[in-house]
Amino acid sequence: MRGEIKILGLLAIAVVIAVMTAMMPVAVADIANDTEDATVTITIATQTWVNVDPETLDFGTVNPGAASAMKQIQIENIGSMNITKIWFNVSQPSERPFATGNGSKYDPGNFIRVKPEGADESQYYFIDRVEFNESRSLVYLTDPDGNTPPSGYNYGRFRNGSYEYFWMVQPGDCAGKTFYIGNNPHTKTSSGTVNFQSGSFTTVTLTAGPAGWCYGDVSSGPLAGYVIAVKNDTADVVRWYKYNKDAPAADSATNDAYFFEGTLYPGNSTVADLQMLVPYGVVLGQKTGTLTVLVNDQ
Amino acid sequence: MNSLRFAIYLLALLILSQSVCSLEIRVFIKGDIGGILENLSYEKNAVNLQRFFLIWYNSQSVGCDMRVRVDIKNTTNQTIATLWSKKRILEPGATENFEVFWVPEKNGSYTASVKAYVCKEIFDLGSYEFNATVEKRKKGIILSLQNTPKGLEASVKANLTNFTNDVVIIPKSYPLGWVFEQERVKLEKGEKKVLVNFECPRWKSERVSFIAVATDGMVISNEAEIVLKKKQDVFEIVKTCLLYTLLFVSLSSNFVLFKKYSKFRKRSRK
Repeated sequence: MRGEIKILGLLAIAVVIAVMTAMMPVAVADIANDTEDATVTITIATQTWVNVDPETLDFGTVNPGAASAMKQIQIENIGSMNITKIWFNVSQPSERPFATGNGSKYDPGNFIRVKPEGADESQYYFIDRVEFNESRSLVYLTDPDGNTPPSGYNYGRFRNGSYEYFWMVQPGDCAGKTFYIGNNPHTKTSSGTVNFQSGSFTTVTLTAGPAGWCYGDVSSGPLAGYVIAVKNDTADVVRWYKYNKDAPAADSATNDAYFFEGTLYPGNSTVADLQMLVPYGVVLGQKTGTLTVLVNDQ
Repeated sequence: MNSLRFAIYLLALLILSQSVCSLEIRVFIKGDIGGILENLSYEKNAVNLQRFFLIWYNSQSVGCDMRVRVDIKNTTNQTIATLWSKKRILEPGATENFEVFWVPEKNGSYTASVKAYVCKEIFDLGSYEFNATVEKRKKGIILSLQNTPKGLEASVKANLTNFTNDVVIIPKSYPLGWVFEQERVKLEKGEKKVLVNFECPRWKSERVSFIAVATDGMVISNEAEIVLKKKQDVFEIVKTCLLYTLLFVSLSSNFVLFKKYSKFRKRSRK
């Protein structure tokens, strides 16, 4: 009887061991992972995109002949390509606004100047400033031929806020003509350069540019660094630009420049310092214009 | 050829990818009245005539009317003449010329105090010393004054042959506080008539006098004077005409009625 019990006990133990052994391979299989990678693929489209913040730049209230506080814009590469060049366009008045009494003829795009972030004040340049000849004869100006008031010359002012520089040029075929710019500013307390025969002035020889324009690089004097574009024949419109690569003769002149030239990687950004330099003689009230930032990846 | 050009443009567009982003820029220009005196010239040693010539630049943001006032003072600091330029309107950014003449009566040293009246604001443009000498002048200009419905009219005529200078009509005496403009006239053949503008704080019939002088100071007129009469405006003239017409109609109808009544009475007696 005892022998049977022993056998049954041993059998029971054997069954338990057998059951446990049978279960063992399942547990081992769970612990030893099998791996397999799923490949995720996405193709980023080739996009050159730029974003500028803020959307609106309000320079507040400014007196004629005064400068606004400096404002900044963030130019961010939100595309997939490296941005390599940045330049600007601005809105401009279509005709002479001064002395008309019509406030809607003024465009603040003509008052805005720009410099790279943190650069010295001397690095400020108007993006593309348009100036028109004077509305009436100025009897205290002397032309290069010695006539007072000038005769046979068109003249106007480069309105740099409270500093105005007189300029003078003969109308007609502009190719080869000399463009005169006073070196001393006309201010509230000083007449500046008013004699273009014997005074202190800078000369620029004009070169034929794209249809309807001549151009020249201002290489000395207080306005050095600008390109001037003079309207052919009439010589009544002069553009002074630096960072507008779409301005007349921008490819031919040497003083014009991209605001940024280098590599701005996707997700990276740069900053431009902006200031409104309101000239004298602007009709009071709100003025609205447009600043356009252009970029490319080549 | 066109398709080739199109293909080149398309290729260029594909190669050069450009992006644009615009933002609005705003500025509010503050209202401000003022300007810049661009030029002020006068004779340090004037002979027979002093001319102040000013150029004013409306550098601020409000369009204004403007006059220049010059007070001439003698060595004892007494104001002996107050002179006004013509009134002009200057929009912001505009430049305008002003001139003021003075005819000295005695040799001497004088001081001119110059002020700009811009939109009722007064800007002191400084004091300027000069000497004046009076030399013999020809009485070759005939000046006469007349009250007309349009206002005070001055007639000038040269009494000399080959006279080509401009003539300035300058107020000589007028009530204190009144503003009389100077009128510059280009004398051509015969007589030239101009209206003399003036402003008075309160109208009163007053005696005023003027002289006319050539711009070289060598030819002058006698002093002409007149008692000012209020100019009638168009409404006043129409009103007067209408009243006289109504009076005439009323009198005529009364007369006709009276005649008819007389006839009626005669018939009734018979």
